[in-house]
Amino acid sequence: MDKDIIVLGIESSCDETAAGVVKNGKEVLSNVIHSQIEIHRKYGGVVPEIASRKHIEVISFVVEEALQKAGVILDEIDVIAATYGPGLVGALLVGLSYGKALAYAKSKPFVGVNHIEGHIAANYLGGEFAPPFICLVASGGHSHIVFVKDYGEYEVMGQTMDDAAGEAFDKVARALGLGYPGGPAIEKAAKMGNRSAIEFPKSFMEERNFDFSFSGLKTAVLNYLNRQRQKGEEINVYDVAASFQRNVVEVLIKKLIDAAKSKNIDKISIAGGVASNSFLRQKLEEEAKKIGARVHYPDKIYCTDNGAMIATAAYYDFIKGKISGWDLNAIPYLKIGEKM
Amino acid sequence: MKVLAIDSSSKTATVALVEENGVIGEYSINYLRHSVILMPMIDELFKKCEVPINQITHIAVSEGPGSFTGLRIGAATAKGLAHALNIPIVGVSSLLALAYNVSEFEGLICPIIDALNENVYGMLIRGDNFEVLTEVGVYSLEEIAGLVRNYSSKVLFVGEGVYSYKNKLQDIIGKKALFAKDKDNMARAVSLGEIAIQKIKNGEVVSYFDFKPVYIRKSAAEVRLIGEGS
Ligand SMILES: [Zn+2]
Repeated sequence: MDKDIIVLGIESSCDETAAGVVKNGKEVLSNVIHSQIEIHRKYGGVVPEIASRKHIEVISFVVEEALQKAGVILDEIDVIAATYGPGLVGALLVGLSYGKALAYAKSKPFVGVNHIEGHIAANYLGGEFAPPFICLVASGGHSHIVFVKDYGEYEVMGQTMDDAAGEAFDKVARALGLGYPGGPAIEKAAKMGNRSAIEFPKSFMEERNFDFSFSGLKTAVLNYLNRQRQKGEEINVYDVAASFQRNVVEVLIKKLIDAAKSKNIDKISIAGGVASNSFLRQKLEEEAKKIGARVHYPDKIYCTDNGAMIATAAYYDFIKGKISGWDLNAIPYLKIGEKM
Repeated sequence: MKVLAIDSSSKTATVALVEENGVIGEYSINYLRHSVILMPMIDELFKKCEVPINQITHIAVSEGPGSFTGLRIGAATAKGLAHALNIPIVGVSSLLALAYNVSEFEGLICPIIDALNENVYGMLIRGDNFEVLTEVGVYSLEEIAGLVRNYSSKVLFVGEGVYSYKNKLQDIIGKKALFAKDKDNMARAVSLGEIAIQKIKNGEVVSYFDFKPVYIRKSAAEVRLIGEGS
């Protein structure tokens, strides 16, 4: 039996400062997340400069807590990893610089991790799900359908042409006065509404590729709200939320199922912030069953931005021989599968 | 006492190894890209000076003012190193370090960093004893001229701000204004390190948990929110 490999993963690409310790790419020893949501709420979205300032204030506490909760000291860590893109460049630089410095001073290998590949790798936590599979990664900043051929091997099949799914949720939630962040707010409101009340147009539904668009839907919702207000008619916020959510979910699921069929793959996974949407999970299970596919999703805590997923992605990169240089830079628009 | 000094608050990336009885080495690159070059520079410095990293007793780092991103690259690097080595951090004002480049000047020293739109981060220091006359702040060029008028001695401007505002300051202040040479307008980690050694002797160190940059300015979004009165 080979020696265990313990990885410390650091994540600071957006508004969560996070660190996690993972053994052999699947066993989570700790996962500490310091969320800044309350700070950004009053701005209605993430303010990059404020996020970066907060990261630098809390990073040492977050990393130390992750080590203590895992019951390890830095010397017992085999690999140190940090997200280097995509994300807010100023925010990325905090975790990346910190991770490189920690690794350098401890003479440990350093691995830079692609944030989206981290979300995909969150599926491996627990150790019962493995490639190949089709994965929908959707969150505030990104929406992709990816064919995961093997660990670290990706084929991007489709992506959003405009807004990310999470972004659309944020914008619609704001228009409905439901607050920020939009994902959980819409999901909660939708539970009290009739999802068949309003028929919004489904963007790209009939297209044969796997790309999608949320900007048209967002505009349709805003136009609907305006029309109702002009007519002096009451707006049922819950119905709008439920109808909007159903629209997004139906489009995403259709694309996902089509992608699985086209690759003849019977495993589908969803990851990223939007993957914690219960309605999406339930609908996907129903549709996947019809084609005999199995659905997997990481626990909700591993769907938000976190350090454990970064550690897991780094583990699979590391055992394939990938080690990053001390000159690794933050890359705000890093693509899936791009290696630096 | 062996200090690794790091300053990435301006265009210059500069790192040095400094002891109580002298400088072991310094490495400066006057060309941005700090996120790419800072860690390799530190690596190179340790290798060429043949100092094992675990002999370092303190990390000195520029606490600001300066480029927000530059400050955070330096701060995150310093905190990460200090965390790994379990040693304290010494935060040093980037303006004070610039003034130290010309500390033998006997008049007034005014270190300036461009804060855009004819504003500078600046302070006023007496050259002979390094007494701080005016605290760090954001000043317009006219305000700087006003500060200088309170004193009869000549004032030596030093720092990157000199490149942007030399002519304007000369116009406003006249003959009393002197300007440092290029070699002194560049941030130098040895200056930062020597100030740090004094601070260490005074017990002015902080834990890596608590160290954070001093930005002087709020973020634009905070300013807007305060302006809206919410
Ligand atoms: Zn994410």
